[in-house]
Amino acid sequence: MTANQLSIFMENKPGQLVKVTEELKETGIDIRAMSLADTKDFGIVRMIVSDCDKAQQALKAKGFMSTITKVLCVAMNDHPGGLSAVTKLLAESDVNIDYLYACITVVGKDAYIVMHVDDEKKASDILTKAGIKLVSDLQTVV
Amino acid sequence: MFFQKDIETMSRQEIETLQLERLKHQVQYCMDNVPFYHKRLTEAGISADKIKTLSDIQYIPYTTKADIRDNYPYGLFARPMKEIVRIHASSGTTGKPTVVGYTRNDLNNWSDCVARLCAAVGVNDNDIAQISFGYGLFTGALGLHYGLEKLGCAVIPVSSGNTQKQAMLLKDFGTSVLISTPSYAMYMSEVAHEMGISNEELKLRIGLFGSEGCTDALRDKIEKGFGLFSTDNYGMSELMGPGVSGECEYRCGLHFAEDHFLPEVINSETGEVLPRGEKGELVVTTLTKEGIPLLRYRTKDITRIHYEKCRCGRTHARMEKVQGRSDDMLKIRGVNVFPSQIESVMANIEGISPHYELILTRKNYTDYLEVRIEIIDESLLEKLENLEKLQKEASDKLKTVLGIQAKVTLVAPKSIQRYEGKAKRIIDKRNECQD
Repeated sequence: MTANQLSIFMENKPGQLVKVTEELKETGIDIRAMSLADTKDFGIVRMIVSDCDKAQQALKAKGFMSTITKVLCVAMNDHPGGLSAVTKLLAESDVNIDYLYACITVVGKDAYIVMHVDDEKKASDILTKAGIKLVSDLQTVV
Repeated sequence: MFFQKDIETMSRQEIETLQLERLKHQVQYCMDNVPFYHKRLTEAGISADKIKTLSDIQYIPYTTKADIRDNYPYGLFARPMKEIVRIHASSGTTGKPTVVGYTRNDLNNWSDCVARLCAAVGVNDNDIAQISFGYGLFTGALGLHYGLEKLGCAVIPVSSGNTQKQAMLLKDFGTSVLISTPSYAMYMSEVAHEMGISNEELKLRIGLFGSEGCTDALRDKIEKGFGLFSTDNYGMSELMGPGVSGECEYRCGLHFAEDHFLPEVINSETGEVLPRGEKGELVVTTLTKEGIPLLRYRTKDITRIHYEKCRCGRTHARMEKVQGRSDDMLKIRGVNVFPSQIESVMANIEGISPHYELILTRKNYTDYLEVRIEIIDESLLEKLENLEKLQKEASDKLKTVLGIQAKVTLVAPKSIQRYEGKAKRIIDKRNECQD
C-alpha cells in the first residue's frame, strides 16, 4: 500500500514557502506531513496533503512545478524502538531508504513516518508481513 | 624606445605606399591560395590589378567570423600543413572554436609586433617578464612570450592561477614586467600585500595588461597598488593575437602595426566606410599573413582611429580603446563568450526550457557568470539528486564550451521573463559591483 506525495520545486529565496502555503490555505488543502531539505539555491518541498491532485492544480496556476510520487506511510508504536524495528526490517532485506520524514503525531496514538525507498513493492511486502501497518493517506489517522 | 624605428616612424605617404603594394599582393595571394576567396573575389568582380588606390579596398567584400566558422577547421588556410607551424583558436559563436594557423614568417612578424609595443613602454633586454596569462589555445600568453623573448627579456611562463605562488615569484625572481589581465593584476597585488610583500621588495616597473577592457580608474588603482606603469594592447587571434595595436608611453591611443594591418572604420549596420576620425566598427585587412590571410575582417569592436603623428615619434595610426561591440560578445575574465554558445549548450540538455538568463557580476576584480535555467521536466523532482545532476551536467558542458566556470542556477518554469521582440538575456552588473 502506498500514499501520494506532492514534491514542489522551490527556489531558495525569501517568500517562496509563503506563496505555497498561502495557496494551499486558499484552496482548503490540509498539510498532514512535510519535509524541506536545505540546499544552496533550490529545494524540493515534499508534502502529504489532503488532496494531492487539487493541490497540484492550484500550485501550477501560481507557477509552481510539482510532481506526485508514490511513498510509504508507515504506522508504528510511539515508543522507544518503534522506528528502529521498521528500519531494521528494511535493512535486513537490503532495501535502501532515499529519504524519510515524520508526521505530526498525537500523544498516545500511533506515530507515522513517510518514506521513499528504492524498492517500494518489496518494502511494502516485508513490512506488511511483519504486521506493520501501512496507510494510503494520513487524512484520518491524526 | 623603438624596436623597429625605421618602420615605426615612416612618413604617412611611405606607410600608404607600402600598404597599397602589400594589399595588392595579399589580394592576389588570397585569390591564388584560398578557394573561398577565389570564389568571393571573382563573384565581386575584384582582382589585384583593379586595386589602384587604398580606397579601392571598398570593392572587396567583408569577411566575418561566420566565414571562418563555415570553413572550420582549416578551410581558410592558405598554406599546406607542412608550412603551418602553430595553431591557435578562440571562442566561436557556437560550439566550435575559431581556428587560425601560422607559418614561420607569421610567427616572426607577430613577435615583431609584440616586441614593438613592449619596447614602446620601455621594456628591454634587462627585464624579467612574468607572463600570467593562461597558456593554451588563446593567443595572449604565447604572443607576449615570443615578443618579449625577441626583445631579449628573461621570460617566466608561469601562466594564470595559483596567485600566492605568482606573488612569491614576483618577489623571489625579481620580476620587472608583469603580463596579465588588469583584473588579475589587481587581485595579485592584493594577495601580495596580504602575504606581507611590500612594493619596496618588488622590482616591478611595467605592466602590459590586455585581453579585457580596463577603466582608467582601475588602471590607476593597479599602478598605485604595485607601483608600476602600464600600457594596454589589442589584438585577436583571427588577425594574429596581441600586437595588432598597442599603447606607447604617452597612452594616447593604441598604435596600429600599419605595415602588417590595414584598418578601416565602418558603420556596422550599413557596412559603409566612415571618414577618418569617426567612430564605428573596426575592420582589418591583414597585409602580410601567410597562414590565414583575412580581407576586411569585421572585428565587431567599436573604436575610432587617429592618424596624426604621436608625441612619441611614431607615425602609425592610433586606435582608441575599444568602446563596445556591435554584436553581443561578452568578455568574461578575458575570455570571449557569445550568448549563442551558451544557447547551443542549453539546447542539448534534457529537461530544461530554451529560456535562459545570464547574470554577470564582479567580486575581487574577478568576473562571475551565472546562468539561470528553467527546469520543465517534473519527474526530476522525484529525487534531489536528479536536480543536482542536471545542474552539474549544465555546468560541466558550459565549462567545456566556454572554457570558464559558470554557476548554474535552476529556477522554476516560466520564471524567466519572456520577450516578444529581441530577448534581453544578459544582465551585466559588473560595473555596479564594488571592487
